[in-house]
Amino acid sequence: MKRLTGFILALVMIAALVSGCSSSQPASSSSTSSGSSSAAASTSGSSDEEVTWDSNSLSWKQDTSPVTYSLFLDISWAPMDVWGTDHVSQKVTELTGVSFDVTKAQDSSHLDMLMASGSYPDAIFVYRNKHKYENPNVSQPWNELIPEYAPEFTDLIDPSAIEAATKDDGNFYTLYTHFRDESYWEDPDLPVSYGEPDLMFRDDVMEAIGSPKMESIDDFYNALKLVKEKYADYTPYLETSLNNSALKNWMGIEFEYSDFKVDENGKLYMPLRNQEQMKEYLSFKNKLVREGLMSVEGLTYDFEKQKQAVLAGKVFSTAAQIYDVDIFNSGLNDAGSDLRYTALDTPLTYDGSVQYAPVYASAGFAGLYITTACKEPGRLIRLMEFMRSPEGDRLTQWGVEGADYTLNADNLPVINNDIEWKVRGDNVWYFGASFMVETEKAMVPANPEFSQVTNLMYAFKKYWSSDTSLSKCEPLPETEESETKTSIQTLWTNNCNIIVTARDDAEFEQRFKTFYDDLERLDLDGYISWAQEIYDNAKDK
Amino acid sequence: MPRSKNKFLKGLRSQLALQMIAIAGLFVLAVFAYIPMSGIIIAFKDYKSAAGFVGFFTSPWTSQNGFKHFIAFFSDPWFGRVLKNTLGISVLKLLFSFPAPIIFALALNELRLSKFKRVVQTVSYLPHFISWVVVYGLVFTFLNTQTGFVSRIMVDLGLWSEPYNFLANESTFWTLAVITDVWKELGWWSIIFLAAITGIDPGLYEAAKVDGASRWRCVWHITLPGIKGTVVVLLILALGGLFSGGMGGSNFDQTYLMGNNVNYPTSMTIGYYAYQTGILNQRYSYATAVGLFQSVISVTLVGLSNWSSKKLTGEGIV
Repeated sequence: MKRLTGFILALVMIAALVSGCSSSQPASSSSTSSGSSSAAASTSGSSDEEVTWDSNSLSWKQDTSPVTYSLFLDISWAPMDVWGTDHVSQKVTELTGVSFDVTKAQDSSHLDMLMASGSYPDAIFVYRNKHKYENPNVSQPWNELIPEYAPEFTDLIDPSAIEAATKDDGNFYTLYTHFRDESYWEDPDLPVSYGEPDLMFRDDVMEAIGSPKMESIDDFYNALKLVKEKYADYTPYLETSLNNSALKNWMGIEFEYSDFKVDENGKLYMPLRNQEQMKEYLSFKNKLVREGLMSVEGLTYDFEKQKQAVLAGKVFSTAAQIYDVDIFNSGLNDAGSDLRYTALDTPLTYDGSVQYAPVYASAGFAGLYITTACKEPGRLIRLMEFMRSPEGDRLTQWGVEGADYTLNADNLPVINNDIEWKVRGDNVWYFGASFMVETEKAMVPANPEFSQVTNLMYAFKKYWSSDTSLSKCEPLPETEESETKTSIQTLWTNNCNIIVTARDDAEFEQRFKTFYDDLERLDLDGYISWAQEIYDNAKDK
Repeated sequence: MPRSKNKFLKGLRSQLALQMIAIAGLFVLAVFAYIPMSGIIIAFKDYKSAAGFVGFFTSPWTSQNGFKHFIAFFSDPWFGRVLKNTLGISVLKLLFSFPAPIIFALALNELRLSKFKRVVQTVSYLPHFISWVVVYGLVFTFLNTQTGFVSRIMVDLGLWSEPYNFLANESTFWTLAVITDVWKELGWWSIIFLAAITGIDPGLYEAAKVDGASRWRCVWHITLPGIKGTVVVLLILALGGLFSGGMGGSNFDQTYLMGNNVNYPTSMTIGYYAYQTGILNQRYSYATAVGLFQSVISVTLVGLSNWSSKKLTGEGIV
């Protein structure tokens, strides 16, 4: 009896082990479309009817039966990770029939691990390293899917958006969200992103030190010194790991959007290689550290820690995005404090003039890729037709009208902040989001009595220009150029604050020299030559 | 049927249930430990993740006779630094984290109030169950310059003129790493030594008492020699971890959580460097090469320390 019991126990354990081994498959293609695989998507009933976003003949409207796809959502900050629990996803399913089995990114390497294992979900929505998914081994080209499943979709898309997403193989594997073409940047009446880097200052402390003018980097430095004298326990300036661009940009060094800039002869160069300029910038920050004007610990903070420090009430000035000034002031207001911050509406000058001249060199923010694992891509590409429409764009970025927002007299959304974000679901499933719809939402702030973001979004526009040809100079993953790029990024990330926190001049010089010796060991000339060729080809097109 | 084979089958049948459990364990080991080892081959190849599992074998060999990634690692500007940090932190942990649980176990063993002893023991090993993420949260809460408890107390008492920067400071990382490691693992590791102590024949203690030996003498002449075998085994294993996770395998977690772009010169360890440059930057072959380097050194260290231990003390794990 004992033997039999032991035998049965052993069998049960083995069965449990084997089932545990085989259940580790990630999101598998589980499309269960019913009758949607017709290759010939219905176009307009009459070939002469002009198709618009409101046409009843749009392909996505022809079949709204339930279908489920697997999705990897590389938006780790999303407040939920299940489809169908918020207003937006429920509405999308109600209108289109499409639902998703969602896997949300746990960290920055989750998707990389998944892809390396070869287990692709049906769709991936990602904002980082998009080029990794833009090849036929991973994703299905939209230029093949659209004619087959939603032929009228092409007529509705901005051709420049297609051009921006088209790769060297002639395919485009997604349409980027938040795309802005060159005409956008040429129009001074259109705003910049609410992520624009800026500096902000505590109003009461500014007044206490005599409201000095704040026009130049020198004015900024002098103000910090006054604060240090008057408020010994304050942090005069807090700059964090994520919000550290304002000073650098305003001192004329910008390499956020691209490793490259273009000179007047059309030749590419790398701003990071300008040692003279970089030394001025880094030695200025080193001076701030050595004189106790900038928090060293703050250099390691993420946004939450930065916010905590600001709300604790002992920070005079901080670098952040323009939207953050409203977040900080709202937080202070909610805590019952009447302390407030004001953000600058012009960049500080350096060497007597405005050096700030950023170039927008990005093709967009994120993209939804339909992977090669998806056996029934028809309903997915049709979903994207819905997502790119004004109706889908507003739904996914604003929520459900009446429940999550109402429109004011200017037709801008007033978001209902009494409903939690995870219940509204806006800005999570925004696979076809446009920049303008996002901006319109930011223009109606939660606390209009002290909001500054709207004015700031217009104030900084005039300094910007764009060069979408530069956006092509992104190396494909796992190539020599991408190794060079990531080596540059790693060296800069690992060294910039080490240089800035040097304890004396000799240590500063030694660390600065070491960084540039290490940097110049990389094949930077080869990297620039490669990029120049890509840029010239893009310009010729 | 030959007699030996008959005997074997008979023995197998009589232990069938146990053998099946053992086979299941071997199966798991094979599937999750040995078969994946075939992936080590990509350390010598120019592997691209788009090639999938098959790419392990079909990718081309790298230049420099397959050692391109190893040479790239050895010639990396940060190689010396990460090696120094890994060894330095691991050696310090060995010096403090290894003897501490032994001393703690010896002290606990001398306690006479059994209830108090149980309470102390339970409280001491609870930190082991706290994840490093929570530990870092506690460290940050206590030590940050803005709202940290320690800085505020010291400044308010007038002992410091301004808050001390513990967390973004090259000179404090090793100390923080060792102290938090000792605090977290002291109680847990002491369980093993306590178990070894309880295995010592009580008659030896009685005989020593009769001979007039003091408590210190009993510890020195009976307890310590009695747990020598356990100490040696754990020391050999700890030495094997010098190049990788450190004692308790905490090096990576500590660098990931407490390391930052200000203290990287002293916090960056080999494991985290492989993660940052290899995994995050999709340089999988490079990351594998770094990991393989770590493993080869660790196995060599285990072998050397086992051999030395056998020569010196007669004790070893193999």
